[in-house]
Amino acid sequence: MQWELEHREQIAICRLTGDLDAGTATELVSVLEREIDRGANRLVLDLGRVSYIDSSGLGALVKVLKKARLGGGDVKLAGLEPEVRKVLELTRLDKIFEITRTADDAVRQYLAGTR
Amino acid sequence: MPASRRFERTLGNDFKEAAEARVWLADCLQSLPVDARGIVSDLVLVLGELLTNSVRHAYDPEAPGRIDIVLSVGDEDVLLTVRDYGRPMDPSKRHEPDLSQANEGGYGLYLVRMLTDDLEIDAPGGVGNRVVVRRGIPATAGARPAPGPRSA
Repeated sequence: MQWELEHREQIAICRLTGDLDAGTATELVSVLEREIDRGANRLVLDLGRVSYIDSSGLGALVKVLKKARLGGGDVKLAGLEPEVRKVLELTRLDKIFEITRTADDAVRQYLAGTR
Repeated sequence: MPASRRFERTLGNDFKEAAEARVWLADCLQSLPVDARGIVSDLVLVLGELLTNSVRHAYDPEAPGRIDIVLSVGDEDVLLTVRDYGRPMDPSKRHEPDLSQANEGGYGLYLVRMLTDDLEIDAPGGVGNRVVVRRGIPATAGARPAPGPRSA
């Protein structure tokens, strides 16, 4: 799995490419928790190039979400592929995470003042 | 008698090998009728979860461990068996996750159950874990417009 980080007005946008699985989840958590520790507790995860997520990947997303919300921030998920959306729906995490069509939509929501 | 194609693969307790096995499974399932391809991504996830269980829970991280996969693709269903020889699964950990809240764990076997039609877990000879799952192939899969009048 690869990722690119971009910052816009203290919002961290992380664009992921590859599989979010048991072998990659731990490293992703480290990267995102470091962002939160640096003050960017409003995160956007662009999953447009992720077609596989497993329970370990879900656990990673939840762990980061909890840390972000603890500090008054949030994690928004953008650009979900059908396979990823299905897994989120099966686990009902689609009701927990804010999901947007694109990363830009998520940034606009943050800037509009919602969380 | 319906034809069945059988595929086998053995790997070590390693997440990288598990990821490679998922690609292998998807390749094996390319022989499914086009209409049934929707179940490929489901079964890839099922295999991923079962392999994660074996790698993470059956074996110690540094110790060598063997995992065998057997895939049988029939006309009506797909059977997938994952066998390890490590620590048996703790039945008390097979609980359903509380879906009303966000959990950091516990979704693995739940997803396997949701994406398959049958699930059996045992330990042949009291050793390790054997998980067998079955996923039916939709009855409409493979149906093609008939080129002419059908014979009975």
